[in-house]
Amino acid sequence: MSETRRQALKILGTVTATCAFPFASDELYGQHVVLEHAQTPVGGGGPYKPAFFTAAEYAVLSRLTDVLIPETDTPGAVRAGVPEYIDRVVSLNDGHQALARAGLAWLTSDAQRRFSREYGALDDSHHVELLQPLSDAVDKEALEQQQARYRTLPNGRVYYFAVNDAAQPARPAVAVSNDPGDARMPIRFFRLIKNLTADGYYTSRVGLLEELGYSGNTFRAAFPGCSVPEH
Amino acid sequence: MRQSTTFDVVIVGSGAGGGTLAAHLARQGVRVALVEGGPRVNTRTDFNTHALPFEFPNRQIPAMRAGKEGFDTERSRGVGGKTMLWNAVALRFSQRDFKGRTHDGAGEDWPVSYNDIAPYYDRIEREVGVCGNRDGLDDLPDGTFLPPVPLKCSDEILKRAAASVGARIVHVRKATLTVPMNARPACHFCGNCMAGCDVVAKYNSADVHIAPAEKSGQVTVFHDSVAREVLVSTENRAIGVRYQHRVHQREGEVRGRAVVVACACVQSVALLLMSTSPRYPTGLANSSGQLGRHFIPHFTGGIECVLHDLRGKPPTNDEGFLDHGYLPSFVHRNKARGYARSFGAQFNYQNHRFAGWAKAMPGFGKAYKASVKAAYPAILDFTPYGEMLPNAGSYVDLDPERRDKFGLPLARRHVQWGSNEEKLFNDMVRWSLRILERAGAEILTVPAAPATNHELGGCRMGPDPRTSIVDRDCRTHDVPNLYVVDGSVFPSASEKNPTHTIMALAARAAVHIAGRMKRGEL
Repeated sequence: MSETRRQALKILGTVTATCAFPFASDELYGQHVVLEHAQTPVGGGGPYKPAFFTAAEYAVLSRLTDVLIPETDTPGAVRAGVPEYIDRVVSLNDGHQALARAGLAWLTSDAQRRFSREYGALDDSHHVELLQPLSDAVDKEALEQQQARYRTLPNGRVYYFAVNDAAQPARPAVAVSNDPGDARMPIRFFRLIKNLTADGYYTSRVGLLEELGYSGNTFRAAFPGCSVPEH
Repeated sequence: MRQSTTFDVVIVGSGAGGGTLAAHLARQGVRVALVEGGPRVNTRTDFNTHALPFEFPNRQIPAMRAGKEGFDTERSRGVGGKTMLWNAVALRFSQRDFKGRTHDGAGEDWPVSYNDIAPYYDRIEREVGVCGNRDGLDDLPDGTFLPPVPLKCSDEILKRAAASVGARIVHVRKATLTVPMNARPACHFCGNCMAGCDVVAKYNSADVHIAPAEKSGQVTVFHDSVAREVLVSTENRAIGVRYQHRVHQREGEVRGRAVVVACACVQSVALLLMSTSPRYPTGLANSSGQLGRHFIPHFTGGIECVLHDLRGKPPTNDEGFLDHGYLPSFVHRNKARGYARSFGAQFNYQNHRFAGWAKAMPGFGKAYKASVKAAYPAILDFTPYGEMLPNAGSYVDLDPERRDKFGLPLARRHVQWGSNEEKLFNDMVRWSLRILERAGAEILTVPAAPATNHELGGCRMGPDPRTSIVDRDCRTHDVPNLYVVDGSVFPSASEKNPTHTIMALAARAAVHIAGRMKRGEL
């Protein structure tokens, strides 16, 4: 085992209090800060006025979220209120502001450069051309990150964890920049907006109730158990 | 506050340890002051039990409803402590858990055995209600159980997969009612127990233990009273507790003939470390120098996966009661496993009102949307819990600089993993993946490193005053009328959820303390 990995495993150092349960699925991206004033109940009122994005940026962002999660037999991201959600999170988290702004500017100018159109006027094939490479890069990195944590031994079944594995060299931390000229910026921008869009959509009334069909939060006299014979 | 009154016993902390102890002492005629740093919280009206994420602009469901206080900090301050928001898993430790050193030659034995604690497990099960199945397992002793909750389809799939590798999945045992008991209704499977149970089907110490004891007149609750120091006389007797009011900051004192520290592992250690005096310059009851040492939280390695057999199936309402099954330790039977101690696993506890995993699904557009919908009924979280051995690099101390809003030093947790943890972590994740693979699961995420949960140790129990803080009755070796009753006294952690054992220790300590009171020893 390399010394770096040994250190990484052995010295956790000072740890924070743990929550009672590792509900990883409850974590909302970009909300590590408790946003106290954002916890007031949702009220009615007029059309949403973006707190962070300009009107032009908000239009591009809105279109992008609807490309990521489009309308099908259920509403897409825009009708589920996702752009509002993203504006709220980004406006309260300055760690994401520069990247969001740089990414939207890049998307606008790339649409012009490659297709000579406003972003909002692109058709489906244009969106795929623009976004598919970014999406693939994000998915590939995520998969590699998972695979770096373990490997399958030659017998095909036994997993061995990289935290304890000399065969896996420690990887240097990736430098982060928001420079629009940075070739990786669009990839990081795509990951940011996809994470926020997925969180925003599947925690919305539309996403949770209509799309996923959440049916909990009810009174049941008894738990029925599993009635499917093969299960 | 009646600051001039002297009580029989002053207890700091009102959770599983302090709440249980207060009630048991009260029943034996002992007059108790219960000092709690947080406010009173009404579990029927104050928690966001039934909220859904879209009711909040940032989609985070706050623990408390608008305008209600408590449970908003890491210290879980509020009458009832962590029992208000726990998952209620109530497992008995086995003889192996109490005698780990004897069993596999590492760590520590408890100075008590299973037979010493068993009658108190019984008592707790009868009074709080624990559901479960009598499985006849040596390492997970049966108790007095209410009927178990049926397994979900996904549990049945895992159960067959586990059986194929020689492991047995059983019904989980929880302090949640499956039939009505003592004016508490049975669970009605509404949703996330850990958001607070608004009908008290799930045990919490405030409603089940403290409220009846208060009604009897034997227990006085000093809520919103943040303990700053345990007071000790020049004759080496604990005489009371000094506190600061949470809201108006005024200081007060409450005095008693005995003092019990029960404010949850790390905070109990911190309170004793803060209680310095000429006799105890490094912390009260710390003549051994062991206070805060032997910090042994559980460590976990959570895996997220999609069960192939359920992918694309119509969504079912599996939300209520959280996890219904449990995978008890089985590797301890293999003497050649190459490490000490063991692991068990909780699974299928995921909260269905969030789908945070969706952002990890590949792609975008219609295909992405369809893949998330198909995975929703099939998502499963699987988390093995391992036991760590004590080591010199794992301890709790006070931050020399940083202080909280009350001016009290922040407690720091230091954790180092030793080679035994390394081996056990690898093996428990390997076994988990083997079972999930047999169950036809596609793995979404695997753990990069162990994470801590269930804080234990720091005031460990032992026969030798030079190497431990409390004796087998939870009484400190140094101060004859000072006790510690919570997870901090565990000399070995087991891999099993600790709360049932904390409650049993509290019931046992109550008998001991009340006996000494009656004999005029306190």
